[in-house]
Amino acid sequence: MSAIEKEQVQKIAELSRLSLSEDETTLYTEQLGKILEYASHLPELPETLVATGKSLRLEEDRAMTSDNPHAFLRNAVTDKGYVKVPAILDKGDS
Amino acid sequence: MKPVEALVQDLESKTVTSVQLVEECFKIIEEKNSEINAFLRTYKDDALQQAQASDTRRAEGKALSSIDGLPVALKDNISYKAHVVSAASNTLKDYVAPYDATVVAKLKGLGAIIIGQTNLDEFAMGSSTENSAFGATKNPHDTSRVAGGSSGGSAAAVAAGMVPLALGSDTGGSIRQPAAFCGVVGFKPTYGAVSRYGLLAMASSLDQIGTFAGTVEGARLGYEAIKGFDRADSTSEEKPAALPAKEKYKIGIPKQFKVDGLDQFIDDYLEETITLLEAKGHEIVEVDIPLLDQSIAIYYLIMPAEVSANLARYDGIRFGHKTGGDVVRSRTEGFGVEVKRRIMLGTFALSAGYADAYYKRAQAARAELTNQVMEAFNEVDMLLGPTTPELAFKLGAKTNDPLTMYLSDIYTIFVNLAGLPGISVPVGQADVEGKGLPIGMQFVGKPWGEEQLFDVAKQIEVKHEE
Repeated sequence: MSAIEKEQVQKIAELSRLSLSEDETTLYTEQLGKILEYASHLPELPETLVATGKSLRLEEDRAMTSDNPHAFLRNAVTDKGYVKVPAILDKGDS
Repeated sequence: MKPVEALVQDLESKTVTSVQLVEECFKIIEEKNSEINAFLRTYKDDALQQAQASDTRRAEGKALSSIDGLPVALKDNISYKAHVVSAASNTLKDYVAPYDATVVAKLKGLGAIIIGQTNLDEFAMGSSTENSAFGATKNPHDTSRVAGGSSGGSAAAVAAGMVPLALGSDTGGSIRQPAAFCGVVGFKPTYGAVSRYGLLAMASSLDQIGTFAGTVEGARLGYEAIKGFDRADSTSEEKPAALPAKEKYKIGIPKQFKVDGLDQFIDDYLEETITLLEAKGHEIVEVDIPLLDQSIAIYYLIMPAEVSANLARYDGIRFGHKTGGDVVRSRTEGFGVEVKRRIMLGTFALSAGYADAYYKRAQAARAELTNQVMEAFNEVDMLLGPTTPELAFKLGAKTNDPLTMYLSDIYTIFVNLAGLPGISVPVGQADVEGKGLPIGMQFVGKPWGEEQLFDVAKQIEVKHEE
């Protein structure tokens, strides 16, 4: 059995918010399978959750001046100064 | 182009002006960039204007720093306010950075002149700069070959003499490997040494910004300009305990570095480098780091996991390729194949039922690998080996086989997994098909061992004329 099956790749694509053609699904199944097979020989060691050996520093919660909000909104899909998001309750227009 | 340290002196003694340097850069860019494709965008008029202002400051004795007026290039995943920052991705081709990365703010504050942004593998994912949505960067030493990656544009720009200093980012070797392929110095600092605020995140536990230059001193001066604590990056180190340079070093060569397929030219240059270091009084010993063999496997589980989380933000709503709110279409159309491959790999490694077998096991192995490296550092001051197992390969040679491409990062990846500083120094060239292909050696230091790396690297770097 290979490390990953076609159905799993389709499921992962869905979770990744990607859509794959049939050919892409076949290709990714083969490629991801090879990589996962290569990666599957890692030794089992006691579990640890420390990624970098660093502890994160928390910042004090205080107000700071920010740059022009228009500069940020410029990259978003906006309407009347609001960010437009897809409708989630209704398939019709937001 | 003269090295950074010579240009800094020339600017100081006013034997050259910043305007002249910027003009020299653009002369070469205009001559060579259409073939090499190192720069994605340049800003000649703006750079000349800034250079003029810098020259005026110098004339008035008000230089902002020793690098005031020095031309610099940015890898195109570093935010440059009011300019497009694309990460070489279709999804960000129209994205305008709303703020400066901390490193950019620092460079501006020191008077450096940003002349343009360089090509990369999309979102810094790749080892050849062939994954750019805007075409591959070619190796200036042989344009039928890759420049390396992911910071291939920055490496090629410095190698071709288009700019004396460039910034890159290094997640698994993305500064050091292209530096080796292009015959320039590439430096990756200790994790936490340089702020990543404004760097478009790839894998946050591994990403670090560093420098490219023609010489070790040039890379060091660049590092001095961008390093330092920053509240805006929660992994930024407030008070690093920098290790001072020493008279003599004990240098370890991991026995795991003897891999099948190590290029003969590179192996010969490693022997030569060892001889040179011994002649200078340093001691070379073999060290054993058993888990080094597994570093690529560890990396290709942890990195994609972080990629899948970091790239979730590109939904076509706040930013990213816009398709009227269709998130799946936005991502499917906006991302290239390698980015999709890594997002899916990471999603799988983190998914219910598989996270224990893949992600958690990789985390544990990463921690143990780091322990083993630190144990080796009880015996030696630094590690030495080739930067890459092979010379710059032909364009297209590995694009259909991702695993083979990944395996070429064998010597660089563990450095990021353990958060260490590393530097690639050109030591010579291999004569292949009538072209001289550069070879780089890598020194890896203890955390905060930057000065020791610069010190040793300078002792072996090939001095070449301007």
